[in-house]
Amino acid sequence: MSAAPFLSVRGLGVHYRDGRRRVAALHDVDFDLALGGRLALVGESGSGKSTLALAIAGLLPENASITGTISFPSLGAAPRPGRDLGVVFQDPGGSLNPVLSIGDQIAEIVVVHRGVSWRAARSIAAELLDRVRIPQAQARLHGFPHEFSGGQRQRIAMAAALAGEPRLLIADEPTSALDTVVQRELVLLLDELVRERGLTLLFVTHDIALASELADEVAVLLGGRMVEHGPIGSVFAAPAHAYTRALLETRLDLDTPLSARLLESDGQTFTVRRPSEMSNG
Amino acid sequence: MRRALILLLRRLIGAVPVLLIVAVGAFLLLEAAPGDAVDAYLAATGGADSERVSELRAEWGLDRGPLQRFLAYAAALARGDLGWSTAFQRPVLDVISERLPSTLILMGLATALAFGVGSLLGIFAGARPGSLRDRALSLTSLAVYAMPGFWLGLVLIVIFAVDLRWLPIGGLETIASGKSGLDRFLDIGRHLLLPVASLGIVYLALYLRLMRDSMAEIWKEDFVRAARARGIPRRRLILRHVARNALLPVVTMLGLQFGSMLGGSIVVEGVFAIPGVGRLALEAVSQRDIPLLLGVMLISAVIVIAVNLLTDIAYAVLDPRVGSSGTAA
Amino acid sequence: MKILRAMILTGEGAAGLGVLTCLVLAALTAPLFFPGDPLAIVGPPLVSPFSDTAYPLGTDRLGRSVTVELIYGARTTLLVAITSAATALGIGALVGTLAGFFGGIVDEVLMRITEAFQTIPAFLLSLAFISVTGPAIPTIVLAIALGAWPQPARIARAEVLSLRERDFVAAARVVGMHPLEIAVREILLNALTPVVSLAAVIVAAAVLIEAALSFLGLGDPNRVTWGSMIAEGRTVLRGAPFLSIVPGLALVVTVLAVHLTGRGFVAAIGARRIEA
Repeated sequence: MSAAPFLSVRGLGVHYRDGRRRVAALHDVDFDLALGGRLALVGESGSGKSTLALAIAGLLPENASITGTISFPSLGAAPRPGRDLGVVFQDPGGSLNPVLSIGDQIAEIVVVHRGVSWRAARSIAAELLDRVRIPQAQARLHGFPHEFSGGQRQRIAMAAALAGEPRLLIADEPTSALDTVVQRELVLLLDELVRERGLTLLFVTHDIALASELADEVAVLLGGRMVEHGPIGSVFAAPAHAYTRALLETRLDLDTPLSARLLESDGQTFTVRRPSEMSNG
Repeated sequence: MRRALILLLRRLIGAVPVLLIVAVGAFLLLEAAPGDAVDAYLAATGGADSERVSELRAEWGLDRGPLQRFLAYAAALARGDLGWSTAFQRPVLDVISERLPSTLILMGLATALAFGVGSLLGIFAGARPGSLRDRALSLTSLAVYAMPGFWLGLVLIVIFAVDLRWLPIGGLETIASGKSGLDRFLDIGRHLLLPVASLGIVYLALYLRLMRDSMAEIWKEDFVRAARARGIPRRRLILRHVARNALLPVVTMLGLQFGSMLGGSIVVEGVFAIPGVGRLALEAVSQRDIPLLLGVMLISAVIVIAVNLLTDIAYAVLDPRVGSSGTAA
Repeated sequence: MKILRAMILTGEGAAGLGVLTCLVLAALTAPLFFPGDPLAIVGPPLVSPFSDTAYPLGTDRLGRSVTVELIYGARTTLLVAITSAATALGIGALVGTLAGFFGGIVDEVLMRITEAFQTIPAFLLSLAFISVTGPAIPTIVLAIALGAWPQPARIARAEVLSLRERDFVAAARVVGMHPLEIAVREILLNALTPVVSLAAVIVAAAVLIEAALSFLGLGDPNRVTWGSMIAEGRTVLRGAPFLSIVPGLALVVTVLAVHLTGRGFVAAIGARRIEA
């Protein structure tokens, strides 16, 4: 192994304050991510995977409190949003300002982080849009978000995430809100972009198949804890934790509703229900 | 641009039935008032014998049935004839046209004050919802919005005109001062300061709260979080992303609240003796000049419709989503 | 009742309700504590406030007690404000329900009429109406209601339309309830929050319009109102500004209390939804 990891998380815990209650979303998470590594965070909804990604991105809501540490040894200081890390969110419709043109929004990021003139920034924006395969990028600079489809908006969001030339790209379920055909295009694009820019990638997904496509490493979250973490080949070939084993056995898409699942758990052991054992209805 | 023009056309067409209904309402009120135009005319000119009276009635079309009278009334309105003012013994339209500029200046300045300063303070408060400055501004604006405009006017008069003697008590300009050009401009300005303040400050509080509430809502939006994730610095974030979106509902309110401010200007003009359309309405009431009062009502409706049209256009310019049929494939 | 408790827990609701309760109590008990004609002369004119315990807020230019006038003025203010708001809500609910229920041409016509009423400034409408009918409490109430009914009408119509969307007739049959029963319950439940906050806004506006009308001499001439007190005080503005300022403060406090109560209610409903 080479030098210090790019990202180092130790003893991370996250609580949300909801009125008088405290809800724990993450317990005692430890892991490292090397420069250039690609880590998939896998789990069901409520497992804490999004919380972990947002915590690393520094985007947790105000009612959240953090214990433990998140450090970036090679940066020497706290990561600058947009400049050191870029984020792509799940909802393509929501991540763009509806009243500004996409050209303005991306150029703005370039101006803020690279200190160039607006003119230069606009042509960089056109290049970026072209790279994410928005057709007629130069003309579409004047377009507004509502004029684009969901898939296009997600690609624009990727361009925005990369406009500041960050080292780490965090993607929170980037394809979940899109239909399967569009999903494939996006995954391929993501793969290309990460490879050609040598990015470190951290992405959250409920789709195991997607994880195995894009990632080198995988971390499995259950109930706010990281129950398994390792290179994707070895984890999938020989999972150490019962939960992971059960997941792989059923080749589950973790987004399916509880009642339809073939998996039962009492918290400690996980058993797979054979189809013949399942009741009707 | 084309979007705006189509919107303009549609609103103009939609305004016609509304104006028609207002005309019907005005006509009904006219009918309900005791006596008719002939009676008023005769009261001013000293009466006449019954033959002359029926002659006049026939001349003015007042002897026919209600439907015909309404049609004659509507036709006159379409020609721009708003009737005859019994108090001023001149056509209503003439009287109103003379007084209109003063009111428009008063309303324009008050709106600029209320919307301009109110929105800015609202952005200031809404930049950090829940902060001390936010709560202080919100509470203060709540109290200010509770003030009657005419009372605020009197309070300001007591402070600035009576005690401090900085500003005049009323009127639009110093009478028979013979000033012209810049001097006259400044004189009118001094006279308008307190009335504009009385009318504007109350609505300033309203726009402050509207902007502040709107910003508090926009802060929760996904794209704001995304902009923060992209490293947009705070000041840019507040202005270009949050405030720019928060502005939209406030602009809508501008049109809706204009009628209310126009009503408020009536009393303010009364308190400060500004020779505008509002005070004209008061004079019409005290002199029982119903045609004049209704003329003011109709003109007010036209002004409100015009202002609503302008704010609709402004909104269409500010929000690119207006007039779109949907996303591309 | 739980709503009331929740309202008191919010600072705004507590303040608003507190002031309003005092006001209503003062207005109701006025004839008890201050019997007789409030416009009767009780002492020397233009006594300053806080200088004489017999007249805690001083006397006006005719020697009438400002305190007594103020309390009796509260009666008129509350009476007019509440009845005109109720009337506006009633007219609005009727028109809106008819428009939403019948739809088609009826809806179009009623909505155009609503729009027409919203185009004319409310105060101007009240002025025009009063000058035709003459000032008296019932006509003032109607005049104010004429300007305020369009908003409730729109809300009522929206509620009825959303109800029509949902197939409540079939649902009612399934559940075994009469469709009218479900309709009324649904409407009441959903419309409650906007109606109450709207009611607060209308009451507050009615207070201010009534004050403006009586300030201009168009109020009921037989009653004391805060607006007429301000108008009276205007004649001695130089020497005794308090005569105009004090009733104005009463107006500000009342309107503020109404607004705060409305906001307290909305906040209480919101909080209950979260806990539920």
